[in-house]
Amino acid sequence: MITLALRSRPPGRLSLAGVTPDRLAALDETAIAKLPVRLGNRQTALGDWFDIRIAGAGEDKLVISGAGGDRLDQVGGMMASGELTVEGDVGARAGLAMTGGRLTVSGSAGDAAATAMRDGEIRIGGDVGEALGGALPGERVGMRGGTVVVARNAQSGVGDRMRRGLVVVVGSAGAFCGARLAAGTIVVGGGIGDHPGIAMRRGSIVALGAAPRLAPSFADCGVHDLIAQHLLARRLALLGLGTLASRIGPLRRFMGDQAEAGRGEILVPR
Amino acid sequence: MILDGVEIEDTFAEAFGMRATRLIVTADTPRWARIAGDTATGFATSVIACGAEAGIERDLSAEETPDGRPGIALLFFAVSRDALTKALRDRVGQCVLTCPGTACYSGLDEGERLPLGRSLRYFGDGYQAAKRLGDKRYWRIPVMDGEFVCEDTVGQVKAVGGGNFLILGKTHRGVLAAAERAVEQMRRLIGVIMPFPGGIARSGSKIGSRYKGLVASTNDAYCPTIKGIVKTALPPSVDAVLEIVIDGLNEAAVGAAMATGIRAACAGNDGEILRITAGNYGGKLGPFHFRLHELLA
Amino acid sequence: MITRIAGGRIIDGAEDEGDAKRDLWIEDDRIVAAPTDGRPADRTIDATEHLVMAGAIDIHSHIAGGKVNLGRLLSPADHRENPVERAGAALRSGSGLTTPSTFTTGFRYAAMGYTAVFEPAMVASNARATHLEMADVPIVDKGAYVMLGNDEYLLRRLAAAAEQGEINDYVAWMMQATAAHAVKVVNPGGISAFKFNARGLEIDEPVPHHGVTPRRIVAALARAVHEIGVPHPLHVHCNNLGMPGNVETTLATIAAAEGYPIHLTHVQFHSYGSEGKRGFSSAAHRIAEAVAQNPNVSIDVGQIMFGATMTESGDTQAQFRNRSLADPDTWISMDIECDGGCGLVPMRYRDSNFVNALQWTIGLELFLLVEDPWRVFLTTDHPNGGPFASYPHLVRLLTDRSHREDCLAQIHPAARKASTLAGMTREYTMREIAIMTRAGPARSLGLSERGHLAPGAVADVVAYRPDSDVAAMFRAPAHVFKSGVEVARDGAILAAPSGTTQLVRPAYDRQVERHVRRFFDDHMTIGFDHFPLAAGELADAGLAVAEQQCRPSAGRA
Repeated sequence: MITLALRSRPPGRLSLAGVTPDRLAALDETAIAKLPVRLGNRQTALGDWFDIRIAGAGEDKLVISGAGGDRLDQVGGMMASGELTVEGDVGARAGLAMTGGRLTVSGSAGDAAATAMRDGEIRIGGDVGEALGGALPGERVGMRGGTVVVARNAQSGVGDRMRRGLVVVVGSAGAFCGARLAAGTIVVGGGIGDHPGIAMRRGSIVALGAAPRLAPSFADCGVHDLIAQHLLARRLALLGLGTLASRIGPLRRFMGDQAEAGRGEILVPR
Repeated sequence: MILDGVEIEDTFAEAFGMRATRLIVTADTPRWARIAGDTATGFATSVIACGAEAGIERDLSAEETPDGRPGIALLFFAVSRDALTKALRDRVGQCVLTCPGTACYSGLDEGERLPLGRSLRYFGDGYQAAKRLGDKRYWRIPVMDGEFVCEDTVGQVKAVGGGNFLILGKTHRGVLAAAERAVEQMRRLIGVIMPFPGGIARSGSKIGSRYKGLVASTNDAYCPTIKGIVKTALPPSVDAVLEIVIDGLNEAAVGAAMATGIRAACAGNDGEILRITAGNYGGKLGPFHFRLHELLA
Repeated sequence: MITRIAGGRIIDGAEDEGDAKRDLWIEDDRIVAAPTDGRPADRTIDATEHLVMAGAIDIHSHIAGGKVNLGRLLSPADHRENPVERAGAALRSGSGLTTPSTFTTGFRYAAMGYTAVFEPAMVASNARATHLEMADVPIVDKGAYVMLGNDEYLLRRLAAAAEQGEINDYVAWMMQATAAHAVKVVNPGGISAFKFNARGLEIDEPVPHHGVTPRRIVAALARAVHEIGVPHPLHVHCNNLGMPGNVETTLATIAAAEGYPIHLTHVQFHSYGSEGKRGFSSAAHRIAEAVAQNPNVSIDVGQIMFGATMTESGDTQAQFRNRSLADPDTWISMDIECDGGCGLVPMRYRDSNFVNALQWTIGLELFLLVEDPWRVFLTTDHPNGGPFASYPHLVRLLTDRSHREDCLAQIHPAARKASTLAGMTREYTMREIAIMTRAGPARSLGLSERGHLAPGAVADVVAYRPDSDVAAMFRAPAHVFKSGVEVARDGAILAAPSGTTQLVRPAYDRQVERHVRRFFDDHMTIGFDHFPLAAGELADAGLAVAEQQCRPSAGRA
């Protein structure tokens, strides 16, 4: 296991893209300390910011600790395998373009967590900012695979332009949840803001809290207890979300956005 | 070799390579899962005319299925990947998709994937939707009682078809009772099916015929009613023969099923059963040879 | 300040002295003769065995203007995946490989030994923004070619059978108004035709509405550019870009120039036959023959390099055709004022694709078949054929036959079979490279003080450390001097002075302004008085203007 202890809150945004357990596993402390990390637009070295400790070899495990982690951006970015645990908060774009492995954040994450994620698993213990699992600016596609679980609340734009994968927000989600969804599944345990699924083409938004206000371009298709809901509940239970899973019973199905391809669904309590 | 007073002939069953897969079909109740299974595996005794050989492997409890409902495991065998693909598409499309409340999943995760939901989805006429959960991809096809959920692809393996043994006895009643005992025990095993009616075949066949264009015909050497005029393989006191044919996901499963079946057939023999033998073609056609003495050793 | 670059092999394309091993002296911003008064050098650069050349000049590279910004807009991944950190207190950060940000563009060019870059497609109504953006491209000298030939005013005047003298005045006025260094015509008439729903235009096909043919447009502009005395000939992007069989159009365009000098740009995209079972073949040999027979013609190649890039062009017809090839699937096509158009299509050239592979061989065939290095220039039409960062690899393909054949072995087999590249033994010498990347472009552009190493020249000097891998050598030269300042060493930027803005100011009869003003009043969104760059406007933006002289010739009214 490798431990990176943040000495103090960096004076600006520090990008940790590429500082991942799979890439650090083969390096010694000196080599790790020399790894380039960007502070804003400048190159610095990992050792400038972190105390590095290696305990035991051959494990793809990395722990980042220390206060001030909210300035650490792109934590777990480009991770392909292994386990990265953050004790505390992280900044923006946590898990950027991850293709595998597991990122666990005990605290909260900033904006755009799981952006462009392709595979793997992200667990956030606290809240997340905007555009969870969304698209990078200028890109047409958001998250393309993998699983994200947020224990508390998410701000607006959850799963914007998402194409595949599972996003679970145990608490509430802000406005434009699942907007422009291309496919994939979003589950929200609590309340959900305005304009959910606006311009969605396919995919599922399962809003288990109070029924949200839906645009008139979503068509009521009645209450159903579909096999797909059973499969989803099973999947949630496997993720340790049994309580949430048990709330998936018969749900009212709205199909939309009929202003777009209209093959998506929003499932809400009847 | 003598087993419970029955002579086990020192011969072997000759079996062939096939392609196989397992489907898990679930339904609201065990009864409807069984109806779907019976229908989908009907008319599937021999690849010669049925396209595939299929059967029910076993019933599944709700805890064993992907969607938490009672289900049934079915095995399908065909001569090639393409033939298996077509058989699955036709059988699931006609017999499972149509059956109230069912869903259909792959029961085999290894091997090159064959399309299933991917082919059937077009029944949804544009209203179908894919759903990926974990590493599985499902198609949701709207039907009149809700949605037919069908996994996108299914795994398939190289398998063994045509394991067999023959029960020779004095009377039809005695031989049938022994065969039923055998099938009852064999059906408890995993990875095999006995595709013939009730698991039992009476029409053993040989290759070729005196009629042009007919590739197989009755195995006259084992037909008791003509034993006086053909080069018979039957001892004089044998007046009835039944065969049990086994298809399995691998060689070991077929061998184990044959051993189980032969032992069950012989067990409690009251003198009705005289001999157990097996069908082969001299060992030149099929790559799998199951020697009876070795299986029972 | 006197600098001595000691012990290098001087390769000066302009002076045929072979490989001369001697010291090169720089005093302040100029190359000087070795001091005879025994003054010592203030600093000596040990360039033993290094190849010493003038700074390289890119005659055709899309580095600024609206289309480049649209290209950046369409390629967020290029910027996300290619960050460039701030490497020193005086330097700036940036990003991008195929559509690099302005600072990165200048730094990367300089680090590769380039000291001048010319933006070939400035839309007249966007000239101000183009120059301001170029002002943000550090180190290198810049210049821009204004696009004419699809502009409403010119087409109307040609349709009205205006005298050549009036055309000349308009072209000269436009060049001054836009602070241009040369004139380019893109798909003559075709961009205008696109607006009338024509999806292609042959050279003798009248432009809808105006009734003027591309042949007429080329003839009028080539003659105008020559007669008003602009050093660089009319820079022509022919009709039918990328179309099988377009070699006929290209040859007809040469004829259309009626003997006036013309420069055919990214000619690789215009050298296609339509033979073979796929209906697509190389016609490089026919272009090379035409270049040999027509001394008024020069070309740059527009080599494609395999990989992802962005295509940026004023040629809306071609880009609209190419939209189905967009990878990723996103593209832009737009009309601009009454001037022209703009199209962007991201592209991925693959060696496993028959067409791409054949395009790659056609470009290399052109390089190897055109014998006169003074009339063929090294370009990838950045970023259309590939980013300029791939030039070092391109130099290696030209100078290293065995490497070229290794690469050839990897492309689509049918393209390999169809190409004559395998039999070509030519390897460019370093002197030929120096001509095609320095002396040749400098001469074509009228940059008398650049592109060579004679005393008096601007001290743009590059010293390459010899390397068996020519690409490595050209990627990160040991020393790069811009106007006497060492700006890069071993690929790292040391200093970031501003380069100059190169332009020409051909004279014209001010009478033309009255007519153009009326046209602006009636049709343009920009007021006539706001359109031209005012005197001193570039200087106010921090641009040092360097004007090259025009040599008007006979025949002008």
